[in-house]
Amino acid sequence: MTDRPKVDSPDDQALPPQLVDDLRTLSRSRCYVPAEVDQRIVDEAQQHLATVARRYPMPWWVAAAAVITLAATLAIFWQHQDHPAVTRPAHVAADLDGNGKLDILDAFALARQLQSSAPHDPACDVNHDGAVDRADVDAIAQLAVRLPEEAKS
Amino acid sequence: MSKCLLALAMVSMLTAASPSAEPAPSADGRFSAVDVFIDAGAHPLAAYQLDFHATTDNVQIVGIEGGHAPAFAQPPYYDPRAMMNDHVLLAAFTTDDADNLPTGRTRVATIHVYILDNAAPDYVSTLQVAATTDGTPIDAEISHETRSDP
Repeated sequence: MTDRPKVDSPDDQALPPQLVDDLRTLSRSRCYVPAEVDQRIVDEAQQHLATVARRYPMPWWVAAAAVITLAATLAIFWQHQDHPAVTRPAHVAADLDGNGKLDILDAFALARQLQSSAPHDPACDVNHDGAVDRADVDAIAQLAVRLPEEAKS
Repeated sequence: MSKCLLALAMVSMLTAASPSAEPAPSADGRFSAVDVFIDAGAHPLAAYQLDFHATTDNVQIVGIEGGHAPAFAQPPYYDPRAMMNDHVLLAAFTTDDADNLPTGRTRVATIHVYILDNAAPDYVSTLQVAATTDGTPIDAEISHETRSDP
């Protein structure tokens, strides 16, 4: 055991008597604001707010028109954006024959399309690598044979 | 020298602990193979997709092999997660000319399995779609046979 110097505990509630007296005196002194000063502040505030309202007069229909115009602009902008969040999911894009189900015939259809000289439909870029090629065929085929989640052990 | 021995011991322990793609052999286990056939009749078979699964719980699929006809000799498409499972979807197609495609009954794939015990396994195969050269679906029949000597 070593002797340590005695220090005041932070939990010690006893304050020096002088400090207690000073605090009591301080709490007794009050700041007095005359009623006319209060009234003058209120008057000036009302005057200022009235000036602001006169400076920017805006009927309700102007505000409504602005909101509608802004909404329409945003909608048009969003439609014309090539936004990745609205890209069709792979299993939907891969349904080339549009029969509602994804199977090997979709991959077969794309393989035959690639063999022909016809231009390739960009929608067939299932793996989103910027090209319609054999990799897309394989991607569709792999999607077609994917086991359902519940079938996996 | 002692460090080398320690490293060798650690490597052997890690090798023994790592999971293997092959099933752990048991005294009663055995390998088997199931041939899957499609009969497309008079139509040249250009594409197929089928579902194969075991109805007994003593089967693990360990390998997929292609079929007999040159057009389907390569292993078909399948989900790799079917390995060590008892369920697989198989699919294949070919853009070869009709003259090179099989007609009638042809083996399209062979599924290698590991039977975990002495009980006889049972399988179900279902043809989901078959098509001819232009992609038109055709009526076809599917069947499977367990090889006696894999």
